[in-house]
Amino acid sequence: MKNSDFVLEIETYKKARRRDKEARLVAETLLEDKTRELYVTHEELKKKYNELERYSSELELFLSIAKLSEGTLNLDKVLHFFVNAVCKLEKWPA
Amino acid sequence: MKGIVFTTLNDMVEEKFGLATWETLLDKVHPENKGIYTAGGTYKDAELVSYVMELSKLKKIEPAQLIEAFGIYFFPVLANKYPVFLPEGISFKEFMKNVDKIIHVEVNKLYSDAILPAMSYEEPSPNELVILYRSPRKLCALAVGLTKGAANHFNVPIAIQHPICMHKGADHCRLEVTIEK
Repeated sequence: MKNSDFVLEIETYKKARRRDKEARLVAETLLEDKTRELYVTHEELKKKYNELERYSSELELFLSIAKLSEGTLNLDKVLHFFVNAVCKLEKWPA
Repeated sequence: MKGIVFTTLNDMVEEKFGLATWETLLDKVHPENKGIYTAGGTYKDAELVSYVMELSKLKKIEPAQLIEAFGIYFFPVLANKYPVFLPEGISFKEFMKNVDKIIHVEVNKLYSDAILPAMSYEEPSPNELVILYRSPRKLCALAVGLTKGAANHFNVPIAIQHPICMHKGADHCRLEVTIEK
């Protein structure tokens, strides 16, 4: 191989290596951006889930009051229902 | 240790000592992953220590001096990657205080497995900032290097005194940063 060919080949390898390295850096940035997005989505979902849970507990509470006023449940059962619903709402052990 | 530390160390060794030196280090350290580091991964602290020790032997430079030089080299890499932590108008001192308050909090969100140093601050005067550094890794030399790197970024001349050190048996390091005007 001529000396100039050898130098040319080394230069070509250097160029290719720089490109590969750039590709790695781009992929790493992409990975980090996606991880950050995932973290934010996960946090939002967690918040929404807690809100929904609270909403559902409140509904149960209203239902127990409605049943009492309707007379379909006796006081004893409603009290039991009510205490359970409040515990759930306030995250106390039932 | 996060992958970016290894990829940046690789870059620094190549830039300062040449590709062959990095290859020599890989041959000596025999990393589990054969030296295929990416910023997305996490790798053993012990590997980083091995690179520093081998490079220290090879180039006859004290390990602490190498780690500090790495910190200085690392800062612009981080600044370039995370410009969000360097908003317009922020001072060197404000930035340094944000490291513990904001940056490490954000790092924890992205990498819940990250082991971050605990840093607290004292401000004896407007031109001084004392950083109390605590970390099981005892990488105070890195903290010094990164602080110097930050000062370079802000173009602020500083001097750092290190009167109390975890390497001398203390439970924390005391880094007294003076802004020289």
